[in-house]
Amino acid sequence: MKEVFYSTHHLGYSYEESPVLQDIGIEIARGEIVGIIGPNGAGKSTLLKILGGLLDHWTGDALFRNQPIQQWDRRKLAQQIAYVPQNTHIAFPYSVQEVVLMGRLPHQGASFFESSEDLDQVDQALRMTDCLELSERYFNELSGGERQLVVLASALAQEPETLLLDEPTVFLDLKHQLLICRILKTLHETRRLTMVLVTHDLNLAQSFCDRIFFLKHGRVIAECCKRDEGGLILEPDVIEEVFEVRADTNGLQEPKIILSFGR
Amino acid sequence: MLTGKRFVLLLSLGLLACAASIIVAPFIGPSSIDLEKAFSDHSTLDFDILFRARLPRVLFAALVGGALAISGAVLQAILRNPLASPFTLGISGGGSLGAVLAIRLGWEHTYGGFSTLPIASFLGSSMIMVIVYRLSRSRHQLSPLTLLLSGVVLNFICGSLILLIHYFSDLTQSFMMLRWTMGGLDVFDYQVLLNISPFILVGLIVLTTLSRYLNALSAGEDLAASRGVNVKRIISLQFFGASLMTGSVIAFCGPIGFVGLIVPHTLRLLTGPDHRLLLPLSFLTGGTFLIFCDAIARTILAPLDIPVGIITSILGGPFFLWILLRRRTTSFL
Repeated sequence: MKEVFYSTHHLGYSYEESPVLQDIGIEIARGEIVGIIGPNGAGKSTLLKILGGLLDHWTGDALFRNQPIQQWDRRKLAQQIAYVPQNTHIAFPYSVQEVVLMGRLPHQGASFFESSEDLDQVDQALRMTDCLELSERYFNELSGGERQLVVLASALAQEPETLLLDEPTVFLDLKHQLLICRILKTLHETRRLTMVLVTHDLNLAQSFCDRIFFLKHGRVIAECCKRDEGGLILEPDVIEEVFEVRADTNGLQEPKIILSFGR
Repeated sequence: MLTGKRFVLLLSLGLLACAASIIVAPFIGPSSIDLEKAFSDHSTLDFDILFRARLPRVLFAALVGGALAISGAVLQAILRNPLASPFTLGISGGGSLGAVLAIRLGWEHTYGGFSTLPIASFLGSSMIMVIVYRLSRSRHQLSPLTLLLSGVVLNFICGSLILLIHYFSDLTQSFMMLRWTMGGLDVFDYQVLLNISPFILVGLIVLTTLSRYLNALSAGEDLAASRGVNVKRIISLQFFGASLMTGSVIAFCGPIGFVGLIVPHTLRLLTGPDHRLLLPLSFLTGGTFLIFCDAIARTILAPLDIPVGIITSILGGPFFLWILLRRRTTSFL
């Protein structure tokens, strides 16, 4: 039986009276990779932040492991959920190793200094993201792609069961996009992480996700799932409804085919 | 990376330097002291100079420098802005406004060891502190950027009001105001130290016990929150801790600029940005730095006593630029 990690009912959020999210009802099971897709301003990042416990004052219900998110102890929640923002700027000259160590915070109790366990986890996270040789460099001197890898490493050092990713590949060159995809896939296979990712990248979503929620104007307007055979199929009609763009999926039977768009 | 060994070593060095300055500095000054007389006979002038004039002043400099430096480090961290200091946030502007107003209205009395001027100054800085905090709290959020901007704007408003009061004052009052806003460490008893110590002690405890959360906060509020940090609570506590500490010392010494800016930045460049070390080390180094500057202020044009704020900027500025330029990386901000 599948274990439900997230479930929301009539979830809503407003910013200065204007609704950002309305009546969201989704369920995410343990080990699933779920994509949240939609045009700019659809409320994708807001939804992700609510799932991560980063926002207050939403309405309706949002449960993580059958307990309302707002009732979770912050530190306990942080031991299970890690969040990777779109881009990260770190004030002051921290080294890569120090940045990854920041991910250990929820596991450090009263101890003032890092334990050897913390250092092991950091080492492992750096190794897993191919960042080991960066560890002495300054974070702010790295390229955008390298920074994103380091932030991912710091999320892994958090030893989460759930990874929330906000546009993990946006702004990155092809090499880093593929590297991040490969790392996420490996993580899913080895650690069975549950992943929720917000993205614009339909190709990424299609090749990577088990399930996709389409968000528009703050509502879930469509959902599509991976089939047993042939992977996840994006219907041109759904894409047109969400993005107001006609997509030609080239009779897409096989994932990883580049979509071509036309009016 | 910060290890226990490094932490203890660097803090011991900081403590040693601070202790050494406290011991040596009282012997520096325009009039030379006969040590034998000073230690043997309590009725001599030498004794008075050493223990009644210079020692309290040196101790006062240590506390003021320490408080300003650690507050600067904390404010830069919670606002994630290298230019933040007690001055950019309007705390010193409010303190000066309170003091200037008190001078204009002739409220210079002393009641049981408490003189009214510092009280007026402290009320001024506290008022600005509360206004800045209230302005930046909107829509359930506490925005560091609004905090910084409201501080800057209120600092300007205070500056204008001070000029207005100057305009309506006579020459004597105006001179007193100007002298106050230059800042100085002229204390002649231990009462002042007793008055500010509780604020500094409480501030030190609040700021240093929460220091490690400032590291998480350096990566942004969302990332900090996702690591289990109660961002709003940490920012509020650190803001009030740093502000009260600064407000209490400014009330007695006036605005002494630059310490809160260059001491933390220099330490970040030399010993790294980790706030667990940076905060206590800033306190010790800030104290040492101000003792040093004050020793120069007392002697360089003796018997004139130059306002120490002038020395901190003239000396600290070029030193900071030198450190900045010889540094390989540009990314430290």
